[in-house]
Amino acid sequence: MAGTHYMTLNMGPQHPSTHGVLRIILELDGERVVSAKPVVGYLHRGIEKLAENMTYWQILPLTDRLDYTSCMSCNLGYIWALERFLGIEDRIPPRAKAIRIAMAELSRIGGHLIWLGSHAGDIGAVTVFIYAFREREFIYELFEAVCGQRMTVSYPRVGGLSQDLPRGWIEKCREFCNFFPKKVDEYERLLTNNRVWQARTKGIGVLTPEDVFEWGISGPMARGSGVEYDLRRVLPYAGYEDYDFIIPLGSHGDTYDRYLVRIQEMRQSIRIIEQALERITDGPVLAEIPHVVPPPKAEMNQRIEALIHHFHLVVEGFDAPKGEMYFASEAPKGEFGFYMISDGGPKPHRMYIRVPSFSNLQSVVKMAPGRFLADMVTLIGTIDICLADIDK
Amino acid sequence: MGIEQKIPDGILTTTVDSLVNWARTYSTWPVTFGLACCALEMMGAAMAHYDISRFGMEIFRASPRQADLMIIAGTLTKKMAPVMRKIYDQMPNPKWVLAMGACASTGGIFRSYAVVQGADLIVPVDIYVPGCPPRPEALLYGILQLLDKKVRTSSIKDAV
Amino acid sequence: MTGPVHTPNVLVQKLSDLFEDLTIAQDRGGIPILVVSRERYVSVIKTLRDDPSLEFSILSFLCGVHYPGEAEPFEVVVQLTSLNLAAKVLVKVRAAGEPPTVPSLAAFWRAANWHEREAYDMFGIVFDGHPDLRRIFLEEDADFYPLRKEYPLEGTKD
Repeated sequence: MAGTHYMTLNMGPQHPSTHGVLRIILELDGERVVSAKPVVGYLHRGIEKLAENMTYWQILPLTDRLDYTSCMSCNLGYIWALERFLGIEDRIPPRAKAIRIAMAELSRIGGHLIWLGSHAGDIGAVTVFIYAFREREFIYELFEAVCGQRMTVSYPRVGGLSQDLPRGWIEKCREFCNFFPKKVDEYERLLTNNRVWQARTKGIGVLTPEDVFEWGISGPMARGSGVEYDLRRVLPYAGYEDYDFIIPLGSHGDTYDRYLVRIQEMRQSIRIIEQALERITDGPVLAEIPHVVPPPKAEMNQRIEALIHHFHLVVEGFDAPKGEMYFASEAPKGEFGFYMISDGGPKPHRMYIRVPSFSNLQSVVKMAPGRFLADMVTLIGTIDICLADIDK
Repeated sequence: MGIEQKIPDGILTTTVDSLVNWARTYSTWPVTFGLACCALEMMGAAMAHYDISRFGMEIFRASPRQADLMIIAGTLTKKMAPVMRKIYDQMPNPKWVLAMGACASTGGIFRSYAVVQGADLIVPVDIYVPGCPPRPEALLYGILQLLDKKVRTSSIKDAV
Repeated sequence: MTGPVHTPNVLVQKLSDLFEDLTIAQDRGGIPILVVSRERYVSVIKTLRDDPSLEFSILSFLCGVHYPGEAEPFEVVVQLTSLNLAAKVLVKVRAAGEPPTVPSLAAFWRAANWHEREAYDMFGIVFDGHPDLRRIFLEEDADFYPLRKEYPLEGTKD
């Protein structure tokens, strides 16, 4: 009797639904997936090695290119980590703190919009893809108004922010907070009670809370299974302990619950932004910490000491204290952390970046077997990966 | 287009030539080749706000065999380079390549062991669009330059 | 919960009581660091995960570090998080031998699987007992370990 063997199908790295250069080697029994083995590394750019050869200031633009769907969150994650490492987190001016929270939440909404657009678009709801990008344009305009860049912003700095908000920005942001919840209602009208959407997402990719701990999952993927792991609540940082917001939790741990969790998180982010906008008081946006923060430009033009100081900071970089530290923030995709080791010089000895999508993607090995080939697209979408995040 | 290369220019062939060029230029379909961050700005250019389909790039084809433009949007790593060459080879002639962003043009800010310092080391590039990432308007400008180049190319005589 | 239940010093005390023979340092953010020997590594991790008063059930990351010039230059760092205690802890162990080897956590904790592959890919640290130890970022046949300090940033070929 002839034996049977499974068909091997290669998905990616060039594929419209893999959200980047992900390759998955599938073994199929007809339409059913027997095993799925992700192959990553097609976007491995050596960011950790580059970081060991750059000063702490120079590493900031590299962090933009990690989770590029929410660049501001990555910047802030790095700056918060660095400020804790340097021991200056208490000296950040309140205006800068409030603006940073507003920016972080805008970035979270932006990241979730990309997730929603591409996840729904891959499953077939292409309209949602177009709608999500329409809202993202508004967020891009807000970011462009503060720093000139839409996407890879590099806006925060050690000690505060690179520049203050332009006139009228707070009103524009409030306008966004007013109309955005109605747009989320629009997405929900299209998807939440849609029978096709429910058929494609309910019961697909179920992860129990035990799976969350077994596979090291964080972010909305964990919260969709009912595990309340949100670093803004569990280990608050940067002032989040003073903000009032709910952590949405799912109960079934399937794709549909994760969808609902992320939609709710977008609504909660609007709530946080509104509170942050109230707390933007007058004052400076950059602390006065001479050894890491450069002097103001006006002073540089008049005093030679300020010029030399600025020159030294830019060309040689400041010396970080000897030691090591791990700090993690809650990026839109999950736990985003930096484990940095310094030997006392201007460049880090080791800058390990803990990225959420790396751990989360492992779970596809658990979720895929037994599902249809068409569900692979759903699973990749629900994990919400960003390959630059995974491959560093 | 074989035998036409041997026919001398005449009013019939030049008219056919212009017609074919016009059709080819204004219905260029890119292949989905978003690698990294630039892919988001490419998607932004394709969405409602900037709308690339008014230039005829209605659909991004997933299969390279149905595409004529490859927009290399993002960093090309050494692991991805053979894959990119394969996709390029699978595209039928005539085909064009647009290197979008600093990474595709020259390696960008990633001067490291894993990054190819410019996609033109692997495939011939027609247009370079600088930026990190380039705005959607910059990409559209680059595409329009490419379309200008295409419409001036004689399909019959210079068929690639 | 709305904040850390255990301040780092309380946690350090708790860990000192549980692991009497280990010195417990703290990182610059206050997270306790346990430096363990290779022999105790797996049992310490299992205790941290399974002890009902600790329950460090989230394995955040596992990474390698290279300290050239030291007797055992390769170190593996593991970070665990406990939701019950709202706390994090770092566990560090040195790899020994040639190739530098450390017991594998992926054998019983699948969250460590890809992290160990990454440490192997970047540093060449071998994880004894890993179900599928192969490279993850670089090509399978690559013959270098990029994050080792002696490897140049721009590579050696081309």
